[in-house]
Parts: sequence; C-alpha cells; structure tokens
Amino acid sequence: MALTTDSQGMYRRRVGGIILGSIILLFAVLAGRLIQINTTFRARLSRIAERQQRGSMVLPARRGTIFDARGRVVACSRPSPDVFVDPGLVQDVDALSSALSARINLPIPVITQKIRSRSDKRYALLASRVDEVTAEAVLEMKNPAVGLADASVRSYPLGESMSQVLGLVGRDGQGLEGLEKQYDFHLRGRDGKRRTVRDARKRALWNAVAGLSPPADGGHIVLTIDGEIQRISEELIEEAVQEFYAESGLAIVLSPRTGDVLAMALSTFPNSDETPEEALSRRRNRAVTDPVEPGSVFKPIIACGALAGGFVSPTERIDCHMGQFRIGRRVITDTKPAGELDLQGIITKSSNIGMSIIAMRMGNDVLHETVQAFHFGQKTGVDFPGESAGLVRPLASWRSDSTASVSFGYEVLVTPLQLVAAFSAIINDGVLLKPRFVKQLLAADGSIEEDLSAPIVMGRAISEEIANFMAGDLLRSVVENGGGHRAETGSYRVIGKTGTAKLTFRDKPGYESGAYQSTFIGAAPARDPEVVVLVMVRRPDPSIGYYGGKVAAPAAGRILEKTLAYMQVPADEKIVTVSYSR
Amino acid sequence: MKHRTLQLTEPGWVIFAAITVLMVMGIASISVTDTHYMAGHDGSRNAAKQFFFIAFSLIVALVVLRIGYAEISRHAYGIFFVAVLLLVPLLLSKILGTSMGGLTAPRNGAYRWIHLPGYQLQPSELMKVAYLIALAWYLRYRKNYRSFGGLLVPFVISGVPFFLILVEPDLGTVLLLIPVLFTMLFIAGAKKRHLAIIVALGLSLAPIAWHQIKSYQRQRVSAVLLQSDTLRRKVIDNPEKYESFVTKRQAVEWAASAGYQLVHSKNAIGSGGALGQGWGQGIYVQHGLLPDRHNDFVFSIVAHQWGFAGCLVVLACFIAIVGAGVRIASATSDPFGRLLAVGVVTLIATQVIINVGMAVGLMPITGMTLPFVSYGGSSLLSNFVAIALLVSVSQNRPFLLAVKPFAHKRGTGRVPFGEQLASQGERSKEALSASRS
Repeated sequence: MALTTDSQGMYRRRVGGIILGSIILLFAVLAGRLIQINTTFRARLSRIAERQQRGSMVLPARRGTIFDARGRVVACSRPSPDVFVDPGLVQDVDALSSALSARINLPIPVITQKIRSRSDKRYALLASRVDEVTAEAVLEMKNPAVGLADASVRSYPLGESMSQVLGLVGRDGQGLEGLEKQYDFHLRGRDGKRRTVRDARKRALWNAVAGLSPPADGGHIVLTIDGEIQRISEELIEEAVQEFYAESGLAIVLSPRTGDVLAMALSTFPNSDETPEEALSRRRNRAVTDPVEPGSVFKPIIACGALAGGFVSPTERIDCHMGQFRIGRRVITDTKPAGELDLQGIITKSSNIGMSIIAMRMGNDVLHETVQAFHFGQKTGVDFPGESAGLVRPLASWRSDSTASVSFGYEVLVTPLQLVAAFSAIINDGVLLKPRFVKQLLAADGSIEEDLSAPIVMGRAISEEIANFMAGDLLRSVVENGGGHRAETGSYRVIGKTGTAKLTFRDKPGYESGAYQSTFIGAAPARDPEVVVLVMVRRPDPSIGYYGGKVAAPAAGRILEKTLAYMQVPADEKIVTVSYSR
Repeated sequence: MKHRTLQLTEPGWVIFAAITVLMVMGIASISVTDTHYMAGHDGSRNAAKQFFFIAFSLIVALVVLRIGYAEISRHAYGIFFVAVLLLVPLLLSKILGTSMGGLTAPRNGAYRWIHLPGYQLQPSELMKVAYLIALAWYLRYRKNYRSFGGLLVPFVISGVPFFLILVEPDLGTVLLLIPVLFTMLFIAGAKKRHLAIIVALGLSLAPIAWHQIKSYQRQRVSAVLLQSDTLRRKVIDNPEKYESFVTKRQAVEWAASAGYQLVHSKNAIGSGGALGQGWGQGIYVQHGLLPDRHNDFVFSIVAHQWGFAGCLVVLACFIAIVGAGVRIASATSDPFGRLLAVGVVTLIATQVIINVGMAVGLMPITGMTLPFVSYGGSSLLSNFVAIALLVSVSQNRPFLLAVKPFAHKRGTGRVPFGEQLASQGERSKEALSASRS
C-alpha cells in the first residue's frame, strides 16, 4: 500500500518532471538564442539599428512666383509629383501595369518593362512631373507598391513670352539661367529637413518629429517688365523678322526716368533644322549678353561729346563733300551725298563724313572719354547673369583709323542694353541710370521685403543742356525729316536715330557683303518721352530691305504707339497723320 | 456547502507573484510605446485599456475561482459547444465573404474577431480554454485511447475547433493547441508509440500541407530559414535549385519584406545587450520601427529596454508558473484536475515558446501573444481563466488522500499514469459529489 502510494507519487512526479524538464529545456534553448543574439550579433545589429534611425528627408521649399509689373503671374511653381513603383512590393506586375496604364497614360508593356527592368531595386520611375489629376488617380489606387515623389514643375502661364529673360529652372528647382538664376537666392527658399524613421512598409513616419526643420518657401519677385508691353514688342519684332526674312531681331523698351526695363523681346526666324548652337543662342538673352557694333545709332552719343567739348556748335555748317571723303588711304562715303550741313543735318541725314570730320577735331582721347562717359565698355550692372561689358579698346590701341570708325559706331562693341541705357541718359537730362528687371522682392507671404524701384544713378554722361538739345529738335528731326520717318506714329511725336551696321563674317575677319544689322532707337512722346525703344534686326534679306529706317523704324514706331496707348499717355495735341508704305 | 475561499494556496501565491511581475513589465512596455508614434495606430490609450482588461480578467478569474473548476467541469461540453458556436459566424463570413454588417469585419484578410461595442471578441482565444476543459473532461476516466483506435475520438473532437480556427485563418492558435493535445494524451496514458506514429503521419503529410497553406504562410516559414546569410546567398546564386521552396526575390528582399519584422525584433533584442537601454529608452521604443511591438513583439521591447536580464526575469516568471502548475498537477488526485492543470501549464508554456521563439527567429511569425505581458483583452481573459482553473485545482487538492488499494496491477511498481487515473474513477466521483454538496 505504502509502496503503491509511493510508486504512484513517484510516477506522478516523474511525469511532472518530464513535462517541467522539457519546458525548461525549451526555455533554455530560447535563453541560449538570446545570448547568441546579444553577443555575436550585437555589434552588427546595433549598427543596423543606428542606420535605420538616421534617415533624412528633404522637405522641398516652394519656389517663389515671378510677377510682372502689374502683378500678372509670369512664372510659378506648382506641385507635380513623379510616379514610381516599388518593385519589391508588387504582387502582380501585369495586373498593376494594366491598372496603371489608363491612369498615367502609358502603354501596358512599357510599364511592365520599366518595373521588370528594376525588379531588384526599390524604385522604378514610371512617369515624371504628372499633373494633379493623374496624381489623384494614382493615389486612388491605394496600392502600397505605387508611390508619388514630391516634385514641382515651373510653369509659365504666358508660354514662351519673355522666356530668354526669365531663363530656366533645373530639374531640382535651381535657377540655371536668366532671372531665375539671378534671383535664385530669393526665389529658392530653404528646403526643410526631417530626420525620418521608417516603418514596416518603408514609409517615412511623418509624425516622427525629431530633427525637423520646416521648409521656408521662396520669396516672390516683381518685374519691371509689363507683360502686355512685352507681348506688343514680341509680336512686332517677330513680324519684322519674318517680313524681312531676318536671322533674328530684338526689341527693348525702357523707361528713361527710372531705368526700368518694360519689355525685352527676342525673336529668331523659324528654322526647322537649327544646329544646337543656334538653339542655344535662341535661348540666350542676346540683348544683354551679345555685344555688337552699333553703327549710326552711335552718332548722337559722339555728337554729345563734340558739343560738350565745343568741337562743334549747333549752328556751324560742315562740308560733307558730296558723299566722298578721303582720310589717308580710306574713303568715307555717305549714302545720301550732301554739301554743307549743320549738326542737325549730319545726324538727320546720318552723314558718316560729317561725323568723321567732327571726330577728327575731337581726337581719339576725347572720343574715348565720350564713349566712356556713357559707360560703354563697362557692365551696366543690370540684374541679369552673364552680362557682357561690350568692348571699348584702351585708348593706346586706337589707331588713327579708329577716329572715323568710332564716330559712326564701329570698332566698339556695345550690348543692345547698353545702347538703350545710353540713349535713355540723353532723354533723362544727361543722367545715366542703371537698367533693371526687378523692382520689388516680396516675402513668401506676399509682403514687400525689399523695394528696388528707386532709380539708381550711375553718373552724369553729359550736361542737361546738351542732353535736352539732342533729345529735342535734333533727334526729332531724324524722324520728321530723315531716315527715321517710318517710325512716326499717328498719335505721338517720336524722336530717334536709325542705324545700319555692316556685319562681319561669322567665321572670319572682314565685313560680309549683304549682311546688315538694322537698328532704330527712339523715344516718345517727343515733348517728354515716357519710353525708349530699341529695335535691332539682324541680317534682314537685303533684297527686301536693310536700312534701319526701313526695317527697324516701323516696328519701333508701332511698339511706341501701342505701348504709350496702353500706358494711357495722352496723345500729342497736334495729331500728325503720316502715311507710309511698308 | 461553499467552503472555497479566495485564499490562495502556496503554488497559488507563486503564480500570483509571477503574473504580477509579468503584467507590470507588460504595462511598463505598453505605456512607453503608447507615448511614441506608431504607424497606423492611435496607440495613446493602450496602457489604459490594458489596465481595464486586467481588471476585467481579474474579476472573471475570481468568479472562476469562486465557482471552482469542478463545478465548471460539469458544463465542459456545454462550454465547448458555445465556443464552437462563436466560431461559426466567422466561418460563415469567410465562406460567404460578408462581414455581417461589420460584426465580423476581417483584418488583414483574417476573420478572427467579433466586433462588439467597446470590445473585440476573439473566439479562438476562448476556444483555447474551452478546448482544454472539454478535452480534460473527455479523457479523465477513459482508457480506450490506450489502443490506437481509441485515439480517434480525441482527434475528431479536436478536429472541429482546429478546422474552424484554421479557416479563419489563425494557424498560430492551432499550432498552440496541438502540443496541448499531445501532452494531455500523454498524461492520460496514451502510448508513446502511438503518439509517435501520429506525429510521424502528420509529418509525412507536411509536404501536402506545405502546398495547401497560403503563400504568405509559406513565406513566414521560409522567412525564418532565410535568416541565414549563407542560405540567402545560396538561393540568390542558385534560384532554380530552391524554386519549390523560395523564390529568388524573396531571398533578395528578405530583410525588407518577409524578414522585416524579424530583423527588427533581433535588432531590438541585440541592441538591448545585457542590461538594456533602460525603461522608455532606445530607438525601438521611441520609434515604430517594429510592428506589433505592443502585443506580439512585446518581448523584443522588453529585451530592448531591460536587456538579457529582463528576458531572464520574464522566462523565470514563466518557469515559476510552470513549476507551480506541475506541482499542482502532481499533488492532485483528481484525474480531471490533473489533466486540466497539465493542459493549462502546456498552454501557457507553449505560448511563451512560440512567442519568444518567433521574436528570436526560431519560430515562424504567427499571431501569438506573450501571456500576461502582451497587449490584448481576449488573450488576457483566456490566460487568466486558465490560470484561475489551475489555482482552483490546487485549492481542491487534499480531498482524496488515499489511493484505491488495488491500483497497481503489473507488479512493476509502476502504474501507468492514465490507468491509475482510470482506476480512481469511482472514488473520484464520490469525492467530487462530496465536494459539491
């Protein structure tokens, strides 16, 4: 009995021991595994854990908007995400492809191929910069394998208008050219950063706020350019380029009292098989970056210097030798042979001979001074990247030949913008102003951060009297009686100067016959000009016309007329009706 | 006569102390994970909810203690039937594909929950306890399972809940109940040889099962094996050879997909070191890198915070519970109580082994909670009820001191445990009726 009880108790204990023993054994296995993980794996695992924690995610700042002078949006950024697939999470490539196909408008095989080709990666880009509707359609799928990557696209509501001025924004939102580059510091804003931690599905956890620096959106800029004046200029310059089969053309509209660039239009003749080089020059803002020999439009500048130095008086009559004048071995010719002319006549008839004679009185040093007084050969300091200083060679390297050449606008290279700025100085009582594209910097919230609209004086180019004399009767005469008559408008009296410069060969020294640059620089209304306009047409077809007065003046006149009407400048009292054939 | 009190026996105190430690560690871990963000969860109130669940489960456990396991045992089949009934709507939802107006809405494709207002009932958790009681009740006096054919009935009985739970699908719970079944059969006296044959049969069916189970379930098994860098490299280099088992992509992306949870669980444990990062410290606490860290993977968080020492405390608590349970089972002379006690011990221990096993990469990842530590109402309730039954068995212990005189038969001095139980039948019944009166 005792034995039985004992044996039963023993047996129970044994069975219990077996159970307890097996469980303890299994627990010991677990404990052993824990030790293994803690020792051999530990260093490696800690490293992995660290790395997992330290992700960071850029929170892109929104690039600022560019407004024109009247607050029209000319460039803005809007969100436009990239659509990508995480091939690692794709269950069924074909099903996913067919579901995506209609949403992102790509053929099924293309999507399938894109996913398959990156099957061992975690990121396969399917479509970049999609619109909101597409993004929403993709989100609606709620497929964890499909994602949208934040990105934005720069949008230009006015299309190609002022594209050379605005420039370009790169894929990562950095300004590459033009004003986008110049004001990148202001437009760009500051990207935020978020230290992220990833969850089971490799999504960054948005609420893991440790190490968050929020993005600061970029500020906005307000241009001096008025979109409407820009449109007018672009339309007319393009018309001129096409009418004369010209290689290219440009127009600048400037406010002479402030230095504000109101419009800067560049056009090239449509060319279906343009070389990459040509495509590049098409994108470049040649008005600021490409200096040219100005030709006859330079004459008023020289005339100012001559008057200031007393080398010629307004009433003095100079013999212009009926179109043929020999200086050394060089023969200077005039297209309109004339006898004796006063200064007004020389400018009006654009006599090279008259200008040469005056220039010879001045001598190279005074000529050089005059050119420098108008800041040619120096950058204007305009707020635009890649501005060219033009080229005014040092006085020492001017030859005797240079005297005559410079007097009618050769041997110096000036940018169209410099030319407009100098001409504006004549209108602005002789004071040279710095041209500019931007008049206000706005903060991201739209408040004014910096006002740049006060004119910046660069210096006095000539005295007020001489400037007013030039801007008054003298330049008016060019339009009224001279080669600039086609610039005359019905409503406003126009002053200005024509120019027709010979162009050098593209690839070798020497002037190419039949290659001209037709220029007109003018201002209106004559009593107190509100705007200055420069029209420059390069390589017009000479069989159609090449004189500045024929090619550029009509476009300039019409730009002036339309611009002033748009600006609601009262028409001149006496409406001059001029009929001209074009 | 209601002489049962809430006064605990000595093993009862041991169990109570161990559970208290576990629950404190659990709440401490849940509360710190609450304060940090976790993907897809508004986790801010989990600790508070856990408190409520504990309070509720404690009340239920006290009620069970008060009623006593013997009284409950009389309704064993009834309880089992109710538990099966609760599983039926889930089966219907699964088959018909309806969620019965949201009542049985699936999560991650599994129909496991009945959504009651303010509480999500998980019938398979209740089934654990109901199954234990019913099986113990069925096995208590029988001996026919000592023949191979006699084993058929317990397996058929088990088949019903196993099938219903498998369909949900909740493979983990079935995997938990199988060791319980075998241990109880073993205790009841089934021949080891027979059990071995059944295990062998089951294993021989494994290749068929491998193809029957869902691909995600297959992936969970392969994910454990793919922990080995060597094996992953082999699969990547030679994908054709392993095609039937795992694809190359699974191997390549193991750490980011099927193995993600495991990698992070091991990271959490490994970076815990010997003494851990400290309570509420460490990246796995502060960030939701590890999914399910407040329930199924709470052990990894414990290891992360308190290191290997913390793990040992947890394991020691469970050993204490198991030891106390085995003592209770050995001490009682009531065969039903003994079967029940051993069943509870096995149930708790198996849950720990599976849960910790998956956290350290020795077991496939199935939805398995760590008893008393993990967050979750149903799990707490069923484990508390199971423990209450165990403690209840200990309180009834000394009722039958003498063993039936002719118990031993074979002259070996060793009476098979099951037979011994069977031979006690008459007296036990008397004892039970006496205790009830």
